[in-house]
Amino acid sequence: MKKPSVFSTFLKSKAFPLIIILVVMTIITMVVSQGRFLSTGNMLTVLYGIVIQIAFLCGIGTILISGNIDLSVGGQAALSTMIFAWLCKSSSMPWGVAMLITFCAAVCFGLINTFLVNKLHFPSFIATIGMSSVYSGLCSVMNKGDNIQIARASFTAIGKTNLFGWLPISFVFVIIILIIFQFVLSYTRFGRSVFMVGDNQQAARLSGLNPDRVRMVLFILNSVLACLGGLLWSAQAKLASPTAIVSSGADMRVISAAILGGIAFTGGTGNLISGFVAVLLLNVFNNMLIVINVPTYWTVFASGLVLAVALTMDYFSTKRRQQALLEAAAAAEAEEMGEVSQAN
Amino acid sequence: MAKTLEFRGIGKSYPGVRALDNVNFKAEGGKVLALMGENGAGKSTLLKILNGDQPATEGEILVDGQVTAFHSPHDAQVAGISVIYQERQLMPSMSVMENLFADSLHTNKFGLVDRNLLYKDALEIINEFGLNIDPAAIVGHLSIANQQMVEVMKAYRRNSDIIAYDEPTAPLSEKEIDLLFKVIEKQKAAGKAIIYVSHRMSEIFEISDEIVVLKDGKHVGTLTTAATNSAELIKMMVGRDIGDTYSSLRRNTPQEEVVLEVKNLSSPKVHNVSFKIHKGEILGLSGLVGAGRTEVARAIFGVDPVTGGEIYLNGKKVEFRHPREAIDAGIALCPEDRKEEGLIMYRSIADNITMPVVSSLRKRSKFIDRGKAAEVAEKAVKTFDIKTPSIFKMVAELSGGNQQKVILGRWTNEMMQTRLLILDEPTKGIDVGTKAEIYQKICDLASEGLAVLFISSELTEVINLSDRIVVMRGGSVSGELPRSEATEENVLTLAMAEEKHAASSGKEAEE
Repeated sequence: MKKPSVFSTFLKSKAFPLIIILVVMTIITMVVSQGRFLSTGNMLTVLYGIVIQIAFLCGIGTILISGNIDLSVGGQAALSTMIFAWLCKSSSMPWGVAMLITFCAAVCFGLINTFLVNKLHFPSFIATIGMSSVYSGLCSVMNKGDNIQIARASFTAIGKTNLFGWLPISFVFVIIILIIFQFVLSYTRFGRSVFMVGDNQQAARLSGLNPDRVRMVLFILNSVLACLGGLLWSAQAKLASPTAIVSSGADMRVISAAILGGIAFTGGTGNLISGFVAVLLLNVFNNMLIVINVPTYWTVFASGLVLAVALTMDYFSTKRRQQALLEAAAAAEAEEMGEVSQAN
Repeated sequence: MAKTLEFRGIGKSYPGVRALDNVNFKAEGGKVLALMGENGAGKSTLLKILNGDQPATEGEILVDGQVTAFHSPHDAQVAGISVIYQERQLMPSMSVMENLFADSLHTNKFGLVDRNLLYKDALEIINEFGLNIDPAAIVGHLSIANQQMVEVMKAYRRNSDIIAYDEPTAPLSEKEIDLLFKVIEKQKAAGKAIIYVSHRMSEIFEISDEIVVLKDGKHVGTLTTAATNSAELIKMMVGRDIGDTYSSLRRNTPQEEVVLEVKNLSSPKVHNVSFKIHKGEILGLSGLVGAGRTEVARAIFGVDPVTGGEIYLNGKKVEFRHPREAIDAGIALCPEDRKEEGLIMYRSIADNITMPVVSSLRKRSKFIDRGKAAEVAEKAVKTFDIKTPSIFKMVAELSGGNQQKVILGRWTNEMMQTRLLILDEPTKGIDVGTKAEIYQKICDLASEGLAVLFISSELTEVINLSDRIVVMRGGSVSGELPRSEATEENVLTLAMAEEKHAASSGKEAEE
């Protein structure tokens, strides 16, 4: 067997065309915006904006690979921040302790989702879309729909501290998490079992794996990451909001990016790195519209259009992949027939 | 060390169906035990219980005399049981080696998956089998035969003490079957207990030591292979009561008038199919699964696009682009999957029966005449003897047989002008008693002048019910048999003419 080189693997991956589009789009924006796009201020805006999305991507991307989905990520993130902010406001406990309690709450969210899917056998789509309302609703209940300010300077410092003046620490932190997740997915038994369960759950079960357990671990990890994303967001914003995260559409944008990056809705394929490139792409696209002064009303429309195009592309590439599979199988069959007739 | 496996009083009930009833037998190490029975005899269910996929409702499984309970396939594997599934259970986008070692991927000292070691071990197994497969190849890219061999190797590498094969040879060619049998011989010599499920007589006699025969979920006997023959086996598998069912049918007499004529019909999966159906005739359409029978029905009914050829209904050329047009012209289709394609499960019997005729049930206004609808439904319930307290009962609450009767009632009630009734596996999953009722209804409908196209995988039923049988293979018609020449052997010869095992296998059917 000849191992394909890293370079040729890269050329064939979904990330490659995305990177080209990203580069082209960046150049166009640079020219059109007359330098405003590349200003440190604007770059930081983009990077701050995607911190929460990368945290979400690690969770949602992995869940999608396992053939499930979690649509309650935004709600969970919002509720986590509300719990954290409320703890900080109403007690004098160190924010580290408050954070720990918040993460415990996130684990509970994950367990609730797991219970609905594993025990009550709801499709994850239905279960999490329902829970999404529950979490968002609780957010509004907690402070009668108002924001809660977070007045802990050492916590909020995390949000806006930059290395070298242009690289947010929180961004570096989520990138490290992303790399760890991708590493686990590619090189550990658990990571491979995520792919196997997503590829054919029944076959994985019959091979002795436990799809329910895999799903539980993923839902809990996903909730913890949603919580993390929410906390990093509120460190930047210095407040917790019951609605801002969901209405920013961060979770939906991450799902779009994951699909665009080649993680199939049906599970079993894809990687987080391509998903990350797609997150960059969508955000640069959005930023481009702002920098070149496209009215806000249109940006929503344009983002929707990008998702529609992404899904269409996914449809055709899946179809092409299946076609290739069929042809390869037919070729293998023909080859064997040839062997047999030669043997005879 | 030789292991033993014993089934003691195993029973399994699904709502409305008794799949297994008091099954008792023992498989011993160093022997191959064949499991035989017709479709629906309960073989696959028994294997699902054995591997912990589904729990038995009664009885117990003993491994080496110890009662064991499996809650998942993993439990069964730990107890030393492996099952090779008829429906290949593989992960198509994963590599061969990952499929082989799914639950125990090799790891290095850092706890990471060690691909090199994995590759080496996978290659060792593949070489042991004498196959030419790259361990790193994606399983979905392999030929069907090689995929099946991966399934076999998956169980082989676990080195289980009890190994069950569920029709392993169906997708294999001669070459791989030889390989497989050598492997089984080796496992047998190593003292493993083998359970081998197959429909192919020749294989059973070649490989097995003992034969357990199941019929309608019951264990009807255990035979020593050396002391029996295929005639005795078939007799045990089929039993006698089926013959009685058919001989008591009041039969129809076909008339001269041709209702449907298909000339060189082609669709994406059907090539150049031609046949005629007369008024009052039951035309059987036989063939193995995947031979294109259902596709012929779909093409006639306007579901699949017709790419070539002509369809004549009562001598008039027709072209349906949509099932609605076919229904209006007097064609009715009872699909194979009645729950998904035939019925609206959560609506009433009345709604399901009057579904195609609601538009003609209107009063002068645009509202549906509920009284009239109820009348039509009541009459159908009576004609077909549908067992229900009311026509307003939900279809989902009925048994499979009564659901099928609802569909028959829909297409043949007084409001319909059905001339051709296409039945696709109408008795699938229906118990023996109701089957007999449905057979009689089909004959009655034919006597009333309906032309019936009867598609079925159950050979005995096609042979005994049809006036004529058209046999398909690989999307084309491979032959036609009049009632007088319709025997299982003749039908099978036509259905599998190119398959090498056809000549030697006495009975071959598909699940």
